[in-house]
Amino acid sequence: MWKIFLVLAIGFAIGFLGLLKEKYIKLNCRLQTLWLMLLIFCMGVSIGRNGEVIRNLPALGGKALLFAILAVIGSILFVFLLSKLFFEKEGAK
Amino acid sequence: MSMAILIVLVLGILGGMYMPMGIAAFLDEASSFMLLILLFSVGIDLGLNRQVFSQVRQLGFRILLIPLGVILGSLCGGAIAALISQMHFKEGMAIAAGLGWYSLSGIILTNAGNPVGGTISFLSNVFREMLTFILIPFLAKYLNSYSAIAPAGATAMDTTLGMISKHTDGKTAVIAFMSGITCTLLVPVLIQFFL
Repeated sequence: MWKIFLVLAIGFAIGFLGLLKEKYIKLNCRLQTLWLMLLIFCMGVSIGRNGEVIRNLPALGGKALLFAILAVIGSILFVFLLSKLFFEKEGAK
Repeated sequence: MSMAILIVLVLGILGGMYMPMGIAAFLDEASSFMLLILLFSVGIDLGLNRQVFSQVRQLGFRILLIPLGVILGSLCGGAIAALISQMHFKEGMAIAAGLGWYSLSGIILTNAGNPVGGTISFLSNVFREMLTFILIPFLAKYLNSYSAIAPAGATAMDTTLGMISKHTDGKTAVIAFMSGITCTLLVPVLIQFFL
């Protein structure tokens, strides 16, 4: 977990101190999409090669999906309502 | 964007199932490295936006409303899912209390003597992370940027942070990171509470 803080902090310092030229900032922006896609692909691979996930999917996958969908819907509803009630005045988009 | 992500995710899963073991193991290892590169890149973006922290400071303690909403919403969702699938409320809430942190939530339930609940929790939190990747662009576009943090739960501090940063703004990314940390710290406490 400390690695996450470290790379975020180093990146932040580089951006904050203005160490990058304009063209590298644009490049960073474009590369970000590439890293994101590579990360998602690699995470897909982790799931696909995990025998436990694939084995249990037929029996428990439906139930698990129900929990995932309802937990996600619940979170979105609560956060949306709380943000409307307490944040919106500040012109959040 | 959501479509592209879904395709990449499905390709990855199929790849993990059918590609040679050695390559799959390598890519699995590589995912933690990819995460660090992505977060380095996100860090640069955040640093460029000098007003980020003053914007976030303006919110003050209200920032905690985001993880509060995530947790309450997840627990309600878990309770309803338990009702539908005829499980105990507490078990359902313990499953949903994983907040996307699948490696931990599955193990806690399994070690507490509930291997079936542990497996459901593990799978459902894996699904939650996948759904998060797909939903973030929609939520940022059609609801508001705060809602895009909601499905991420505990993963907002690592795996889904890049996605949130890409589709919202620097301020939201910082709030997401803090919400992710709060959720991560509370996951073990919440699951124990409902066991």
